[in-house]
Amino acid sequence: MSWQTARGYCWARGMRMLGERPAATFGGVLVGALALALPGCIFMLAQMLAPIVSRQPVAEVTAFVTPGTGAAEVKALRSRLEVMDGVARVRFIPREQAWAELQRRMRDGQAFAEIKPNPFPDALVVEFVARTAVPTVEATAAAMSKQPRVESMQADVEWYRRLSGLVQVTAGLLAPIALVVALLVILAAVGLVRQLAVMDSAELRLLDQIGAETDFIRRPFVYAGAALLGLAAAAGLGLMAGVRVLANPPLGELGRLFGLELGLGYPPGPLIVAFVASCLLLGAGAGNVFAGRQIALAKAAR
Amino acid sequence: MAADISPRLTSDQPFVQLDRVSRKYGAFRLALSDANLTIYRSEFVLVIGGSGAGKSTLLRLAGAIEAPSSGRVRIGGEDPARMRPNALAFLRRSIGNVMQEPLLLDRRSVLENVMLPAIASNQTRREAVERARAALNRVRFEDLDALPGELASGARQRVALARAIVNRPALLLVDDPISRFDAAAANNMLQLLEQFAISGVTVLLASQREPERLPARARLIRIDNGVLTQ
Repeated sequence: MSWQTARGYCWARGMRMLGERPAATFGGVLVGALALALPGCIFMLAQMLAPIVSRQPVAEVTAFVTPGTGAAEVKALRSRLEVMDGVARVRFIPREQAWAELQRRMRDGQAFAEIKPNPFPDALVVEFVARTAVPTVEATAAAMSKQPRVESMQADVEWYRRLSGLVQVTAGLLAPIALVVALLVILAAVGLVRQLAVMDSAELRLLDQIGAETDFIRRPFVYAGAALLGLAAAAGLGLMAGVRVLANPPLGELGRLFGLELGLGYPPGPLIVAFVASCLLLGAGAGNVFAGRQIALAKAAR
Repeated sequence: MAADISPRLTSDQPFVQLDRVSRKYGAFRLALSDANLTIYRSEFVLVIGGSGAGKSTLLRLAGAIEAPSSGRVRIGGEDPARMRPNALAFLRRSIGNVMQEPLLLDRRSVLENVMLPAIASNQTRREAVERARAALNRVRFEDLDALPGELASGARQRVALARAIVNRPALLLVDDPISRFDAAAANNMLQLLEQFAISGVTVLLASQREPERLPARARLIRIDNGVLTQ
């Protein structure tokens, strides 16, 4: 079939364009892979952080109970704290539980086990309603410290203040950052394919001269562009896998310290398919546009 | 609608017509000035002129590779400047071109270079190979796997000629092939081109010098500073 021959020729020519310039192709795939892996990694990071960031920062203060306080008195204190301004809930952490938890988290638990007696007091952890204003938290914490049977208070309001600010800034910056990265990716990808069209302008002129139809002239560039960005997408996915392998062990360690499950996960399958398909389409489209532009330039130069 | 340019063995039909054609490059360089020329089917026309006289411009206009700055060119009764892109491509496939510097793809074999117009004309690969072998045989070139970059200038011209005839063109444009050859090789080339003309192909040949033996059917035209004299 003649159309198969023509398409086969176009495909072979497109692949030859890449093969005849191994250094440029390799460099192009590498640049494309880096450009494509960047938003991929941002996505993996966002995917990991989404459940954490989506939680509203909640202020917490801890009221340490005077040693020797009976269970009934602790219960009464808890009831009093629960009705104070801005409080969402109060958790009771017995001193034994705090001690056991500390030993579990520390690597050298044996050394702690030898410390006797248990140095921790009973504690009441007060959780505030999300988005409670910082002055309210501070005022309530001060009022709590004056309650009978409260030995001391730990209120890290500064941390709450910083986290609230960080969440607001991150949410505000994420969209513009994503937009800039997307634009950079498109520019890098389109630049790669443009190089191909410029480098092959002599053959393009010849094909025009011998009466090849426009589709026949453009098609190899379309195939080469799609293949180049397809390869870049595959290499980009490889880089993302590499980042995952390298980053997940330290992230896991970090997460354990905060009682969180941290780790980069691949984007969902359909999203990967859409990502690769978009790269193929972008490459094909860029090839088509630049081949057309080179044909026009060749004609104008006569 | 594509032009009817199938070769017919009648020489009373105008095939290429230039009507007051001028071609300017940039603002000042006038390469062809007010040229009038009619070439009939299966005619052999030899254009003689010095370097920079306007021969290549004339061939490019006659081959629908360039458009005139003014005047009108007609090929097979059609004005290429007014044709749709695909119709123009169809017309170009019926015109074989051997330019002064043959544009050969140096990384492809000779056979692949010669096959290219056949593939671009939607021939099957098998047909394209057969045609390319026949064309190379016709110009007496045997090393099908050679790369054009390794060939001498005369051999490159013969490969370009094979590529030009692979689609069995109705019009063959050859730009100055004999200046680079010795007398015997130039004579062989002329005989070959004359055979094409005898078999119905219209031949327009440009040369810097008049050949020692002018082909019997040839019409001689001179060009100097872009002006044609018959």
